[in-house]
Amino acid sequence: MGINIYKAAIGSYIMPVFTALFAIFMPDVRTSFNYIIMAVFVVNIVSFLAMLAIFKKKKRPNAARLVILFNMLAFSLFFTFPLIKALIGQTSLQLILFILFFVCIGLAIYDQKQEVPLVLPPKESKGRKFVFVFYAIPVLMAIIAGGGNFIIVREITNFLGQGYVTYVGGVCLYVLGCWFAFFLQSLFYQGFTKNGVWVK
Amino acid sequence: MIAFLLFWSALPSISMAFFITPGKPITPGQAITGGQPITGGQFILPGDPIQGGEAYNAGPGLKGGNTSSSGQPIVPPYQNSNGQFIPAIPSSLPINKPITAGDAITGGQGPSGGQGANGGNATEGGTNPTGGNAINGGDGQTGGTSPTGGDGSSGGNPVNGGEGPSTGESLTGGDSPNGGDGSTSGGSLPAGDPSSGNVNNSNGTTPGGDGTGGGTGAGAGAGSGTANPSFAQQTFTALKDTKKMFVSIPNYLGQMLDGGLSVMAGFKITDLKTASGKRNLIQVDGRATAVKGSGSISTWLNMRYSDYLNSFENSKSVVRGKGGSVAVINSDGTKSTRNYAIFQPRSGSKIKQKHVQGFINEVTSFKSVWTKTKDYMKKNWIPLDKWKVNKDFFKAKSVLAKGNGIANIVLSVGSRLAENAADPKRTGTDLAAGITTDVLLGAGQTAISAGAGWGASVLTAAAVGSVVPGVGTIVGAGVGLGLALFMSSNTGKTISRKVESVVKSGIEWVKNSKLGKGIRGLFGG
Repeated sequence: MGINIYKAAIGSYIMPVFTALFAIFMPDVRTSFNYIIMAVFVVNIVSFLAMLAIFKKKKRPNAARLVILFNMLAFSLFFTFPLIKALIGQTSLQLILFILFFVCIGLAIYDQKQEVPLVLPPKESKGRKFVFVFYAIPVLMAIIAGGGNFIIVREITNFLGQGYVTYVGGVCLYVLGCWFAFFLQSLFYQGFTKNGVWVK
Repeated sequence: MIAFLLFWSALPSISMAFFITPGKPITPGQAITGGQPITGGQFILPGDPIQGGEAYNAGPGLKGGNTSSSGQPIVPPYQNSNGQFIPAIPSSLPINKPITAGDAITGGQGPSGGQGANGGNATEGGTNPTGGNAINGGDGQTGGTSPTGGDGSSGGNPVNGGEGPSTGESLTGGDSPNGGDGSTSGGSLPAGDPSSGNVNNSNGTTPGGDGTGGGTGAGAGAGSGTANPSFAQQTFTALKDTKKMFVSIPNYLGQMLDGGLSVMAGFKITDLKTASGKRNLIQVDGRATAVKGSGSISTWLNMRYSDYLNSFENSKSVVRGKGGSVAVINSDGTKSTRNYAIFQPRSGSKIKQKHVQGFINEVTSFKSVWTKTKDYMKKNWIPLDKWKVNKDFFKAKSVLAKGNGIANIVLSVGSRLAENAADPKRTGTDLAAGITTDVLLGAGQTAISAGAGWGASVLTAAAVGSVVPGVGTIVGAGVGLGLALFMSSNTGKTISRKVESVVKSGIEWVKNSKLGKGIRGLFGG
């Protein structure tokens, strides 16, 4: 496609920045989550450098591809932070939500090993009855969250209070984060492997 | 006795009747024959026509303010000062002053009122003060009737003086009319400044009325106050321009749906890596429809998918159109068939990369992403370009009609109007600043979400080796959704307020400074 994979890998660090904005400022509570956000960026940078050092020259493009995946997962992870931060003081619930996020990533790999995966199913596949439900999830979240229209959200907030953004919005973003994690992991897995085998 | 009297009076008549005998009947005489007809006389010849006299030449018109001929005698110096109030500050004039002017009568200048006879000319002079009244001046010729002159802008009163000439007492007459009026007469001439309170001048009687005339002047000031409505008018004009875009551009909800349908249908372009460069082959995949079925919902979803495929500028290389028709129900309840084109991927085709490079660049090129984002931001967020006014920034269609977020202007107006209604302290400038802020935030939201979407599309293509356009669409919509929530958080509201404050300062600057007036010119304001 003519895209320089290394430039793309470096550019991919921008993606988590978009959602880190939500993770840092929503909701307006003091937590140690900012350190977690910084740690995620550091891990992604260090892992890229480490992989470049470890991988042989022929395999180094794979390091770049993996870093892009990591950054896209970080992008998804930061979607979940507003709700997890809002549940400050309820550590167990926060942990469950964290784990659930990573479960979604695992489920994506599991799903791709199925005959008819949810994401990019084979052309002639049958039994796609759950596919429509899967793609309806973000649409449903978008409806609940005001359709992405900030004026509508502002008016709803004026009417229902800040709790709407904190909890309802937080849940929407959390579900969206899990959905993105599942979706992107599926997409990348399908590109990286063929029946579970690394082909790049 | 009675019988005697009757007998005595009737007896002679009765006795006479015995002697009356019928005479011979009258025989008819000869018929009277008509005489000779009277012959007509000679016609009377008219005499020489009477030649009309010389036309009366009107004397020289009385020039306004030229009281030497008539007004002078009538108008005492004090009165002049009274009259001046009209052109000056009418409202400041005390009504009572004219009464004091009545003293002018004592001026004894009445004698000169004889000159008032010349005032006949004054009739024409009447024209000076109030134009049309000059016609009434004609009446003046008949004599003091000219008081109609008074009709004139109060100046008519001096004309009354003109009547005086006939008796010389006219002066006194002038006084009498209405005392104070007499004083106003002096004012009448200078009152030629019909600029203020013309109507009241026609009354000519009450200077106080003039004061009201001054009030009308104030009304002119009110006229300047109409500047704000014109700004609102501009806003609504811009709204008019936005309407079309508002209807046609899908919001983030629609984008989320379109992206999902696209991925569901498996729309993607895969690099087959058969060769290097533009001779490389790529394969297009994707179903013709996103969902199965022919129900109304399925049809609607598939139409959205078709429109989405056709929404790319370089879509022809990877998408083909196929004619179709659908039954639609018209507004009057009748059914008709509408023809349309259904777009679907050129699935299974192996195409040289050079033929689809335009499409690939559109959805994956860093350069394309950067250029689009930069242009968008420049047009919507940066008012200056190389230290010159960026006209694109101020174009209504650029500011209000581009990008999904900008469609929010319609909602913004309603929201901000309600905000203004709830808080009486908020002015029209606050309203304009609020709407403008919403527009800017909407533009920013659109730019950021679009950038995130393009970025996701590029990264997916680079890492996976397949271009999946729907991924960028969904990711972009997700970021837009998050931004909408973020802007209603405490931090987001703080940012919004600061932006609004800056915008308000900018609007006030535009209204007040010279450069700002130049910018307003761009709006046609």
